[in-house]
Parts: sequence; structure tokens; C-alpha cells
Amino acid sequence: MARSRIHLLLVVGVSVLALGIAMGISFLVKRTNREAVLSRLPDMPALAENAEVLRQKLIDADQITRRTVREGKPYKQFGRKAGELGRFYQANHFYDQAIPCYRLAIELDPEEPLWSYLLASVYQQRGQNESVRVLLERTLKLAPDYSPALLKLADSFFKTGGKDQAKGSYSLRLALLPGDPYALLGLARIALAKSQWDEAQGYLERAIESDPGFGDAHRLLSTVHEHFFRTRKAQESLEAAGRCTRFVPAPDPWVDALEELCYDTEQLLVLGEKAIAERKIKKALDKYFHRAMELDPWNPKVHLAVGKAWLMLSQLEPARDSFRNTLDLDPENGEAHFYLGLIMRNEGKLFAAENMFLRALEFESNNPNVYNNLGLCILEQHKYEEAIRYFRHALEIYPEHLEALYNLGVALWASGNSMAAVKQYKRVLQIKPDWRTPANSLAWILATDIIESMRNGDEAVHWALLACKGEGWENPEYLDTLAAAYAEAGRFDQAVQTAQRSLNLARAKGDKSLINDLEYRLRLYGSGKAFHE
Amino acid sequence: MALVVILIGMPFGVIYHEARRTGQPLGAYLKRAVGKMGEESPECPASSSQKTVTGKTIRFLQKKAIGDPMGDSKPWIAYLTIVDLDQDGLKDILVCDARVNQIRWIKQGPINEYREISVGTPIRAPAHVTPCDIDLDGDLDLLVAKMGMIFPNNDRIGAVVVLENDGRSHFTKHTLVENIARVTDIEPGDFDSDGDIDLAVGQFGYDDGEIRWLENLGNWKFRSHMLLTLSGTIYVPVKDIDEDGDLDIVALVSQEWEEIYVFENDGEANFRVRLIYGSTNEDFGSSGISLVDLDLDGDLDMLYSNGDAFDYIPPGPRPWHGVQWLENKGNWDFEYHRIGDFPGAYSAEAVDVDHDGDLDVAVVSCFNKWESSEAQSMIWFENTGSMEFMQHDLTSNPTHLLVLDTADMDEDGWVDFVTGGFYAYPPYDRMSRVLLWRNIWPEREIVD
Repeated sequence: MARSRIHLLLVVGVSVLALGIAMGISFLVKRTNREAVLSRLPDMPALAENAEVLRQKLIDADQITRRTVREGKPYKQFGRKAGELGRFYQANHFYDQAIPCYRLAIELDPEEPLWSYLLASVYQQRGQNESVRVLLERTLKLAPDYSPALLKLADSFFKTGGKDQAKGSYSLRLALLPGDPYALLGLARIALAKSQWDEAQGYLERAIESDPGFGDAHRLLSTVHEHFFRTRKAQESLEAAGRCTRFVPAPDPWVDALEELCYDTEQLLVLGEKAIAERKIKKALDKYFHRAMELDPWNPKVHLAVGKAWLMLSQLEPARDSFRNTLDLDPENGEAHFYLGLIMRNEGKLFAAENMFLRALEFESNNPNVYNNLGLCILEQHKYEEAIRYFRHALEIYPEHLEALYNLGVALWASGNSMAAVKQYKRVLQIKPDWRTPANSLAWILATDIIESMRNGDEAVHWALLACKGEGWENPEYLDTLAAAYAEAGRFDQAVQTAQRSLNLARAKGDKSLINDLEYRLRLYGSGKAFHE
Repeated sequence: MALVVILIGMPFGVIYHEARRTGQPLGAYLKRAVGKMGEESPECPASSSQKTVTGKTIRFLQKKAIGDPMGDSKPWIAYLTIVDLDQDGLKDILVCDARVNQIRWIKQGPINEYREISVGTPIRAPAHVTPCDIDLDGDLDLLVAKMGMIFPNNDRIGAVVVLENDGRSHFTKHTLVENIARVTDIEPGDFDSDGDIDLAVGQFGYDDGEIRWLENLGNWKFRSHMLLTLSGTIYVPVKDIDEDGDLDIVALVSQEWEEIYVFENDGEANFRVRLIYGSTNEDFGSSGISLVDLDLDGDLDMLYSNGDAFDYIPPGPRPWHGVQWLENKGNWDFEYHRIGDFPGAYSAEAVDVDHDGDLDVAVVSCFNKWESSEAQSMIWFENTGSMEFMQHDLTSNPTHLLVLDTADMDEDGWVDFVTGGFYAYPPYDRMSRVLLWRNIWPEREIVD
């Protein structure tokens, strides 16, 4: 009996001990497991130089993520939180912290394609094509229809010599997004690399059909035309490219959504500038600059950026307010003075504008734009010699400043020196042969100058036709010049026809002064006489 | 037996339950617990740019301003290169000063004494100067890339200029081509094997750029041959990349392309275009390239920096800026290796800083976070062997360093540095124009 009791006690005791050991082991394993996961979350970056809002947001996001594990929630949930934390880090340019977050997220939340895609986007930004491709292929296994991943994969192959793989991925994207100009551009580049010029032309023409504002497609098409010696078409393509915005990356909703998480003022200003480069000025103001202002209201750079955006929208009042705010915060800001001067000039307050430009020069003495606008301001006050001095000053700083070169021509002409003006306009047209304004001004002098030796009807027609090219045919002033040039060249029938067309356009616009002038000139041409100043 | 079951079964049961509860496979749970999870997997590769490793600061450079003083204006040194221009046995420095729009010669003589001399007539926004005896008369002429304007501009204001040396360091200007998209680099080479010097020309343009080579017809006449029409070319170094006895042309194209091309020469100036590498980040900011045998295995690799930020206002550092090298694996295969991150990285130079027999990498920055007094404008990556690199800070003063060249200027056996500053954006509180950084490694000081 006693022996069996001792035996029982022994069994119970050993069981309790075993249970304790088991509990201890499982506790230790559980803790080690949890700590192993937590230890892979990155340490917070040094945040001393960042805005308070960003600092607090990052601390909160980090703590929420860690709490998920400590509270014993499923690791998939922790994986998601780690991914979210990674997004926050990436959006605010803490890439070294974003990478381990995404790696954890991929491991613990393996069915979510977003994490591998965003990790790919970090590596992609650092130029690491090999790492990018593995992650993009993983993304596409999970989300085969996410077309930006196909584009990135194709680009990555193309840029490391994998033309065939690139072609496959571009084609898949094209199947998802018929007519996609980015895939077509990629296919065209592959064709060009293989000297398949006709095929490249086909892709590029399709890209332009889908997006007529796709500058790079026009430019490459120009190269194709050049290859086939189609000089005129090549030039037309280049001109079309010149009318397009700068390159805009393809939309990428998963990466673009990171912008919502950005709380870094400098980065927001850059995003705003990019939006402006894409001619999305309202978006720059409402989305990026607005948040930058909320985060950093005492930063003069933010006010300056806002002012410039308003100015681009021709909203002078808010622009003026922003530049004044800039000067309140940074009284020596030359740019703000300059832009205020521009607004005043625009409003016809020439004397105030002049003072503002002079003040801008105190802080930006080497800025040719300030001298050029100061010169214009003076020119509009009919102080020709002084204006000429300022334009010359702008050109001393930057001799190829096209506007200053042209404005100097105008000032020289206004001061009675037509010969010097002609030289100036020709210099401008040598640098920028397709600029209509100086071509028109040059043609006018050559057609109508009071000094007979200055006039040259045939040359005037040449420059006037250049000014009228394309949209110039809808400009009554350019047509007026062309009519005068025809008349000077003795081609009165064409002069009458052109002047009549110009008159019709002027009437449609209600330009009374030009209508009167044209009616007078039309009578002259009708009677076989040219018009001279 | 029961005890064994309890001792093994109970912890196993608890662990199994915990693994299931937290949604992990048992294997992963156990691996994680013993610290074996988180290594590279085929589906989640580790980046070849792990976090940059930073070592202690080693002070071994003594800086000294050389050439003309800064004066009141903010320096715009667009480029500089070390060369013995007058062939007197002492190394001089050629400078593209885009502020005064002139090539300047900082002449050394006697040793360690420098004076600055104007070279030729003004050239608007000179972006690059390459010494070369183009007329084969025994002295060094200068090939000058005229941009026309440093900042974005799509007008045709560039030119290919040669400053011909008369042998007494007097230079006559020849404009070989003008009114073309902004020129950023000109490099010499006899591409068609006819015994004279032809030229490779990189034209950044803005929206419309080009790469061409100019065939030397003699008597200062050249014929243009277009190689590629892409905007954004910044460098066109010339070397025999494939070691077949003729000169190939490499081109670094920035803007939205961010690509490196090699124009493979067949020896008769028939070029085959090869795209060697490209970043799919259209803001990568390619800023410099040099062809060097970085791993000392006998072939030419590419040392490549990205840190340009002129495009945006405000220009500033980006988290992807840094330095990398493309390892020449032969047969036109180049493998990417990240050396390290460095915001605003420009002008990386391979140099054996510490005389340990391998090549380290020194690099300057033009766009770091200058609001911080700690932001570095020059660092070096120590090659710790096996092509692993450790970053060491060098200086945060001056800021805005755009260009770096290295050579043993004072002939003491240690490679010295020369830097040029470019100040288009504030702050302007730590400026420099041209600085000589003398290497005093034997007297170095290690800072904790």
C-alpha cells in the first residue's frame, strides 16, 4: 500500500516536473520565437532633423506593429503590420528600414503580392535589376493582372540585355492594356536595338495614337524617319515632341499610394515639382504643397513653391500673398522679390515692378532673368537706352539668353536702330530656328522699314512664312507681316489674299486697332503699293 | 515510457498549438525559435546593397585652397582634371570654371606652389576638358565641351571646341561643330585606325540629346557620324573594353533613360550598340562613370555614381543615391554590385588610399542634406578585401563638391585629392573653389 502510494506520488511528482519543464520549454521557445521576429523589425531611424508630425507618426506605426506580436495575434497580422510600417518608411525615404519590414511581411503574409512588389520598387530605385526581377516574378504569380509589375519586369530585362524576355513581358502588358504607350515604346526600343526599323515605326505610331502627348515616342519616331531619310517628317516629329510634356512615368497605383503617407516637407516639395512638370499644377497645390504647408507653415520654401504654382495658374492674388509670406519669413529671398516684380509688371505697375526687380538684384546679382525682366519693365516705359543696358547686362551673364537677345532686338528697333535689331533677330534664329516671334519681327523690318536699303522682300517672305508655319496661320499679326512681305516682294495678289485672311481673323477677335491698320494696308496692296513704316 | 511521452509530447503539443495559433508552419516556428529564419530565400533575395557599413573616421587629408581665390561670387567648377599640361614634370590642374566661362590652368611650379592662368578665350559653360595631342605635334591641346548653359535648356547652344597649343602654352580656339545640343564630354581616339585622332562627343541636350563621333578629315575638318539620339548623355569615356585592339566608346545616359551603352568598334569605326546596364528608376540621377580594373582581375570594370538632383527644385539627396560598380564578367556581361549609399554622389574615383594593394573608392557629394553640419561632402569606401567596402567619412566642409580627381601631386608616394565646388543652391556658408587635399596617411589620426 505504502509502496503504491509512493509510486503514485513519484508519478505525480515527475508528471508535474515534466509539465513544468514542458511549460518552461514552450514558454522559452514561444518567447524566443517572438523576440526573433521582433528583433528583425528595424530600429527607429535618427529623427532629430525631421518634422514633429513625421516623428510621431513613425513612432506610433512602429509601436502598433510591435504590439501585434506582444499581444499574441497571428503572425500573418504582424506581417501585414510590418508591411504597413515598411510602406511608411518607404514613403518617407527611410529605405534601410523599409527593406527588413517588407522581408518580414513577405515571410509572414506570403499571399499578399503588395509586399514583394514594394520591396522590388525599393531595389528598383537603387538600380538592382537582379533582385527586382525575382520579386516581380513572385508578385506576378500572386497578382498576374497587375500591369505595372509587368512593365517593370520588362524594363528590367530590356536594360540588362534580355530583349526576348522583355518583349514577352511588354506583350503581356499590352494584352492587359491594349494600346498602352509604355509597352509600345518598350517594344519599339527592342525593335530599334535589332535594327527592325519598320516594326519600330509601327509600334511608335501606335503609341502616339494612344497618347499624342508622349514625347519620347515622337522623338524615337523622328530617329526612324531620319534613318529612312524622311527629313521633313523627322523634323515634324521633333516639333511634336517639343510640344509634349516631359517624360511622365506610367501610373503605378501601389507605389503612387505611398504619397499619402509622406510627411517629409522636402519630399512633398519634390512631388509637387514633379506634378508641375507634368502640368498638374492644381494637384501640386492641393495634394503636396497643401500638406507641406500644414506640416511646416514657417518654411519660406513652401510659400515660395505655392506662390509659383499660383502664378502658373495666373492666380495673381494668392500668388502675391504667398510671395509676401515668403518675404516675411525670409526677407532676403531674391526669387520672391523677382516674382512679385513679375506680378506688378503684369498689372501695369511698372514703377513698382522696377523697384522690386532692383531689390531682387540685391540678392541675386547674377540672375539674367531679373535683368531681362527689368529691361522689359523699362522698355514698356519707353526708356529704350536704359532698357538696352539691362538686356546687355543679362547677356553679359548669359550670352545665349534667348529672351534677352530677342528683347534687345526689340529695344534696338524701338530706338530706331533697325540694322542692329536685324542682327539680333538673326542671332536668335540661329540658336532657335523655329521660334516664330523673332521670325515675324525680322520679317516686319525687312518688309516695311523706312530705310530702303534695309528692305528685302524675298527674305521678308522667307521669315514671315516661317512665323506662319503651323499654328501661325491662325495668327492675324503674323499674316499681316506676311502680307506686307508679299507686297514688298511685288506679289500683290498674294498680299491682298493674305491681308484679307488676316483681316477676317482680326475681326473675329475684335482687334479694332489691327482692323484699322489692315483695312488701310489692304487698300495699299490693292493699288499695287507696299506698306512702309 | 509515460514520462518520456509527457516530457516530449507536452512541449511539442504546446509548441504545435502556438505555431497554429500564430499562423506559422511548425517548421518555420521552430526555425525562427532557433534563430535560423530570415536568411535569403529564392523568392525574397537579399539586396546586393545591404545597409552601408560605416567605419571610423580616419584623418589623413590636409586641405589647401589653390588657384584664384573665390572672390564675391559663388564658385561653379563644372569639371577638373589633373595633367602635366606643360610637360615640365609637375602635375597641374585644368579647371572648367562655368562662373567665369573659361578654362583655367592651375600650374604647379615649383613643386607645391600653384598659380592660376586663363586658357584661351571665354567659352560659355564649359562642362568638360580633355587634354589630348589632337594635331599630333607633340604638345597637349585641349578638347572643350561647350554646354552653352549649365542648367536645363533644349536650345542648340552647344559646341565642340579645341584649344590648340602652340607648344608654348598659348592656345588658339577652333570650333569644330557648333549650334548643336549641349555638349558634355569629348574624348579622343583613333576609331577608324587611320592614324589621326577622331573624337567621341556626348551631348546632353535636354529633351533632344545625341551621341556622335567626329571623323578627323585633317586640317581641322571633321565629319559627324551619329551613334544614338537620346537625351541626357553626360560622359563618353573611350577604352578598349573588349580587348580586341580597337577603341570602344562608352556612354552614360541620364535623364529618364539612366542607361550605360557601349559602342563596340570593329576597328573601322563601324559601331555596334550594346546596352550594358540601365536603371528602371527614371530619377536614378546618374552622375559619373570611370572605366577601371576595380577588382584587379585584368579587365576593365565600370565605377558608376548616381546622385544628380539638378532636375528638381529643391534639389536634394535621394535615398537611392550612391556608388556601384559593374563587374566585367567577359562576353559583354557586366554584373552590378552596390558599393554603398551616399546622398548626392558625384565623381567617384578608384584609388588605393591606404596602400594596401587594393583599390578603394573616393567620392564627393554635391547634393547632401547641407542643413545638417554632419552631412558629408566627401567620403571614401575602404576596400576591405574581397570587394567588400566600408564607408569612412572625410569631410563636411566645404559642401557642394561636384568633381574630384586624384594623383600624387607632391610626389611623396601618396595619392592626393583635388576637388571643385559648385554652388548653385544654398546654403553658402561652407564654400570652396578648388582645393588640394594632401594625403598624409603615415601621420593619420583615427577618430572615435
